[in-house]
Amino acid sequence: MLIMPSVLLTLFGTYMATRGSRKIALVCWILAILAMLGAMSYHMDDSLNIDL
Amino acid sequence: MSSPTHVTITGYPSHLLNAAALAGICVSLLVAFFLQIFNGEIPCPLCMLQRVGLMMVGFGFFLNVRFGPSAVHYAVIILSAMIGASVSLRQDLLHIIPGTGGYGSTIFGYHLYTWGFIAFMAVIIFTAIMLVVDRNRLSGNNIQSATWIATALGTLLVLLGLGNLLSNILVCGFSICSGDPTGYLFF
Repeated sequence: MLIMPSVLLTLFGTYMATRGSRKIALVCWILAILAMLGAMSYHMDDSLNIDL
Repeated sequence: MSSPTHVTITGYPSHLLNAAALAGICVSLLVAFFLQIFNGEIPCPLCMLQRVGLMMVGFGFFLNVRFGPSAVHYAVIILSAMIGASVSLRQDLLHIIPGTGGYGSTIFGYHLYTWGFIAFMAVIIFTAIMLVVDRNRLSGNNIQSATWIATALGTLLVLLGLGNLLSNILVCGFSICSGDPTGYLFF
């Protein structure tokens, strides 16, 4: 559920680029990045067993 | 006499180089699907995020192939590769301690997330070189109509995106993905 918006937005952006709509495609990518960052913050929050 | 579009393509090595890079991204996604379908390896949430990162990198290359090279398109590629690499590195660190095992099978001795990190780093280096190659042609509006390469690779990328969407639904459904998925939800 958290990952799906970034997949959908990237997919839609690619589709719009194939249709020749560069501006809409770029807006979709920005939204996809934001959605992905949200998914990353949820799925990458457990502590690592390493000492940096 | 060549059409303006044809002149643009032959005059720009970046068109073919970007198309080759996009083809490489598509092959990476196809390998992931191959292992998922024929080896039964269910993608974990981090694996899915890396696939999305690859799709975003491919999207940036596709913009270059479809519309011509642009600084904005290369920025899309670099930022997408950095985000994808951060996920790959995270998964590498989860398994970096000896004895913690890995996730999924290996190819030439490396797990897919390690290859993912290598691929994202290679993309960033490639993009830096391409920015030098295209330094005088970064308008992003050089190609007015889609070439056959752009149409073919764009269609392939859309199909792979649809495959990722379907995979995501089959593994996670419409809820939050399990950290260690063991099978598909609907069969």
